[in-house]
Amino acid sequence: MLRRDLLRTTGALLSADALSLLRVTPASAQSRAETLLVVVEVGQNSLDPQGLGVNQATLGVTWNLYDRLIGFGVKTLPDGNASFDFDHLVPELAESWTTAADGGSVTFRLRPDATFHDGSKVTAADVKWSLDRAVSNPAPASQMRAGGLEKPEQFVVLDEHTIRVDLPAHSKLSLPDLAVIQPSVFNAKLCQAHATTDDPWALNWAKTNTAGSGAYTLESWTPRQETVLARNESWRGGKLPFFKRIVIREIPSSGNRRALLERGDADLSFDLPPRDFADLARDAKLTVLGVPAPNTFQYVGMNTHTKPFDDVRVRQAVAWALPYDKIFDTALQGRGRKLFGGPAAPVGNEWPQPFPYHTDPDRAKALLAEAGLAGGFETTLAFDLGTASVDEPVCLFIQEALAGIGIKAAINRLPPGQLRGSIGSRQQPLYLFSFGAWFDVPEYFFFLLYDGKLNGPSNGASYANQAVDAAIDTARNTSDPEAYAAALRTMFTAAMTDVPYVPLAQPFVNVAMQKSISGFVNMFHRQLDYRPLHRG
Amino acid sequence: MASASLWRYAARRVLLALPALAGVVVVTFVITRMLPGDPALYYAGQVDSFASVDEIRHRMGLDRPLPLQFVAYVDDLAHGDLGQSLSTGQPVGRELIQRLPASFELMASALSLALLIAVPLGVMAATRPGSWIDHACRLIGTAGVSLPTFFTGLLLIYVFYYVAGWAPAPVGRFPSFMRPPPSITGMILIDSLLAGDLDKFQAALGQIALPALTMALFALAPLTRMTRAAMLGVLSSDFVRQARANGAPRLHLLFVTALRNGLLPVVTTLGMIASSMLGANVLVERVFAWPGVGSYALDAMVSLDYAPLQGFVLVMSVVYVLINLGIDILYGVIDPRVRFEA
Amino acid sequence: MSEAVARRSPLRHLLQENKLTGVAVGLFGLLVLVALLAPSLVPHDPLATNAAHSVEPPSAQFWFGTDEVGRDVFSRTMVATQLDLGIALSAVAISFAIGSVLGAACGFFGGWLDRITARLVDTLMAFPLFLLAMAIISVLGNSTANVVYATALVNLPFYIRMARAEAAKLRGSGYIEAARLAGMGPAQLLTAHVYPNILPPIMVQISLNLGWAILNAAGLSFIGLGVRPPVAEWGIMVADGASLIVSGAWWVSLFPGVALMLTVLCFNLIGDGLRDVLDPRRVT
Repeated sequence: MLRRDLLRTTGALLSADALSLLRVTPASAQSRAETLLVVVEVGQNSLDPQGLGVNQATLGVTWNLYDRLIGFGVKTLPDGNASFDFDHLVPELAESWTTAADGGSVTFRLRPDATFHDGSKVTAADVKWSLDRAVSNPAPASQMRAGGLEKPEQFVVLDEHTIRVDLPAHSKLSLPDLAVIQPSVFNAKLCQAHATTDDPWALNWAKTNTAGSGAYTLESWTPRQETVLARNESWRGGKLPFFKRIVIREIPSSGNRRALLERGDADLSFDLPPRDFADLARDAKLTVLGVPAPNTFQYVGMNTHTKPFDDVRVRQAVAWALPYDKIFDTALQGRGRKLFGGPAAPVGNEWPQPFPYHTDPDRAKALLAEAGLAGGFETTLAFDLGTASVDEPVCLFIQEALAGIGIKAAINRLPPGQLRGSIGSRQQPLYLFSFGAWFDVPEYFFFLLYDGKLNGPSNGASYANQAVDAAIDTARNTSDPEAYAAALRTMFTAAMTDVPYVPLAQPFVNVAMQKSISGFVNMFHRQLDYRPLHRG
Repeated sequence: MASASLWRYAARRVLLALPALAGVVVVTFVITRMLPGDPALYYAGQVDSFASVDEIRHRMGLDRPLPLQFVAYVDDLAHGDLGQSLSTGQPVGRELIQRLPASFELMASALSLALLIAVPLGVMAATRPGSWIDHACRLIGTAGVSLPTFFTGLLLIYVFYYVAGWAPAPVGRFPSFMRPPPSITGMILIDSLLAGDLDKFQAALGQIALPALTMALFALAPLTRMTRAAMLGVLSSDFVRQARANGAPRLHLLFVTALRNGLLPVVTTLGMIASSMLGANVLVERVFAWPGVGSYALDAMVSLDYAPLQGFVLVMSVVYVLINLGIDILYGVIDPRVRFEA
Repeated sequence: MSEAVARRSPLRHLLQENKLTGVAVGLFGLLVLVALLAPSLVPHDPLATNAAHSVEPPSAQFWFGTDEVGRDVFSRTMVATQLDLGIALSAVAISFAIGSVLGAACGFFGGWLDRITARLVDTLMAFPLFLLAMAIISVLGNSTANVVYATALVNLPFYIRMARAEAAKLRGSGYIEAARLAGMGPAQLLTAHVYPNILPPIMVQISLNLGWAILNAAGLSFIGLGVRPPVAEWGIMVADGASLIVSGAWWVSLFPGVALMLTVLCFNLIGDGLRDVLDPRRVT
């Protein structure tokens, strides 16, 4: 294409960036190769992984600034991509651990040579303080509860390098829960020096300062503009990363991010609309990877407490009416895994899995007629303005398809703050959203989204089914594989039949990077782990 | 020019502005609280239960009754504390101090560029009224103000960055690979000159070129029109005719005598444009990733971030009052006939 | 010769003297025609998606190309004329109706009405207006009506101030005095003598305001506030195409953007022309 040729020749010679590159000496060229330039839409709003109101980007940056006791191993997926291995935990700050015979506690032995960024040693006291902090503040406590970690009393310092974690709930998720972002290990002495009587956990100070031991230190942070990380040369949590510097630039416009990548002014982005990833993959000038986001699906939700969606036939009618292929091919550009057109009954323990629905307007109309709504009805379809580039085309297709069976849905485009809130307050009759759970186990997904007893903020459909609740309970606690499989079958069948949430696709976690870069490992938090990346 | 009456005038104007500012504080507080959505739920992210959300809401102080929240807000204001931004985690006051120079630099560059184009255009049009040049100048100016700024910005980026590659990547005030100069005034162009670093000056100039051009196009019309009208009025005035009769050279006549006296309405127009540019260039900042106050407020509104919104409106109102006052005083300085009634 | 000039109607005089304004008036006529006739004449349904033809360049079938969901950009651009013109006209009409009457009353009568209104206007004008419009729509909800109300409110101060200034000038004039002595009541004075005489300069403002109102509505849509999908509106269309520009799909943003520009240019040129005729302080 003419534009690209022009780009390569004229542009490369004339842009200010390239000019500065032309003046580089061989030594600086080396340093450019060892610097990774990442462009994102929004950066972190805090440096504290346990902070209040921290956004996704915070979790990603602090993942690299802090260490945890243990980490997830790496597995290779069938498509050749590398992903975190939920079932395989590896040492990080803890060099080994032993589980008690009755499963009621785990004892960790810390590496004796691990140090924080300020040079002081990492001790069990630091670990206890950090874990206490995690369970004593509402934001991280929510995640810690998932693994049965709820009270400071559960964390017992045995000696300077040994700590025991008591697990009264015997939860299967306890160990993985210590490998996620919330139980990051803080430099307790440093934090306590900045604590006040009003703020005993140094929450204010930790917002803008780091107290970690991670593979990277914070070189600079200009909010809403740029963050620079520098490699921690004395890191002991694993193999020293390749990149000496990570420069993360915030560029709000996705078009600009894409252009920077294409022109080589940026090395990596995971923050583009599916269409751009599809185009870049086709052009083959960059490496584009797509990994199905574990335990995640994009769905159309219906409020089971609002007429007429309280009638399961109406919900099923909607499920038969959705234009799945159009959505998947045109709006999602094929960047995902189809969750429609599957067998009539659930298969195995894998989640998410394809639902039996496909586009069949006649069947939809028949169901509506059965429910006494042959003439159709009016409703609203809400979606998140923040993800409008993907979601708006999806909603336009849905609106049209529903109109075809007599349902007039007015599209309601809501700012991000409003949609999540109105889902929480159960105000949306019909909406498009996504849900994903960090722990790659179906029962945890169902607990947060489908459990009627919990009736959590994500359960916008107000779904409640006692049989499902019981099955979720069983699945979370049993160690008998057959009881487990049976419970899952109950849950999956109910999800498919009652269909309060109609899955459209399991979206990809997409990454586009210069061909010279490799080592990408898909993480559960869908942000970047810079440690395994390398160039050349 | 009586300086005593000048000070009294300025003081009276500031006092008169206080009720408006108080109104602004109250109205902003109310409007932000009326924005639909629950900040606690938004910032809680994906939590397991409503109990967590309630606790988070309590930690944020959002479960207190509104009057109490207002009192706390005014109390903080009295101590010079504009609060903290939830979405960036930074103190609002500090962020505004960092972002105001960015917006100001952009506005000043745009206005300078606009003046560079508008004044010669206006003078040209004034010296040949009714001709095709007059009409062409008018058309250029009017066309500029008819373009939606967000569209112009996108077009300019497409043409000059993607296609031609002349402009640098629209990543904000400074390119990705270079460190900005040490911040003295907060305006990168000036700071790089103060540091004597021409490379950085060139880089900053490259970054500001397109957004300044986008905004300058918008200011062209009123400035051209005002220059033209002012020049016409002055050229036909008595003292200019006198000077011409005395044999003054044409250029001198134009640019020294006539323009200096035609300056007044131009200054007024400049002031009006400046104050509207400063806060309202939200769209340009969005398109060019410019870290100014406009995009700050826009981001705050979308993320239900009350403190920055309130802080932004309050600061901008104060700035407007000061700019308007400044214009009036400048008016009086330029034209000795203007008296300040106290 | 001068008799011939005097006999020509003012409108023709205006148009012949200023060809630019003539072109603008013609363009305005064309816009009104498009606004009225487009919905029935466009080749494709502006709302119908067409997944098979997503993001296609201009062709014989789709004159302006298609957007992300395969809708015809030409049809949407033409049909949007009605909505954008409608929003601008409604918003300005409301501002003008309320603002001019209120301002005239304030300027003519003075007193407490004037003082209170002046304070309110000052407060209103202390806000960054675009953000105020954004806030109003966020609070009231996304709908075309709310865009109109928000734009009208933000525009109000200009009309109030202008009407007030003009009416204040007339307070001491001779014929007003005569009418008052003849027994005319204040309300009658206002409607019969004051109001009609302040209209000419305000007319200029209206035309310029129409252009601004359209840009304002488009700007709000660009951010995502106001008009809801799948409605065709120029601002939303430019926003939709903004992210596609990089991938080379320039047509999705360009055509609505140009339509926007031409419409606003048209209103501004008419306003300029009107100013030349009606503003007694014009200098040429």
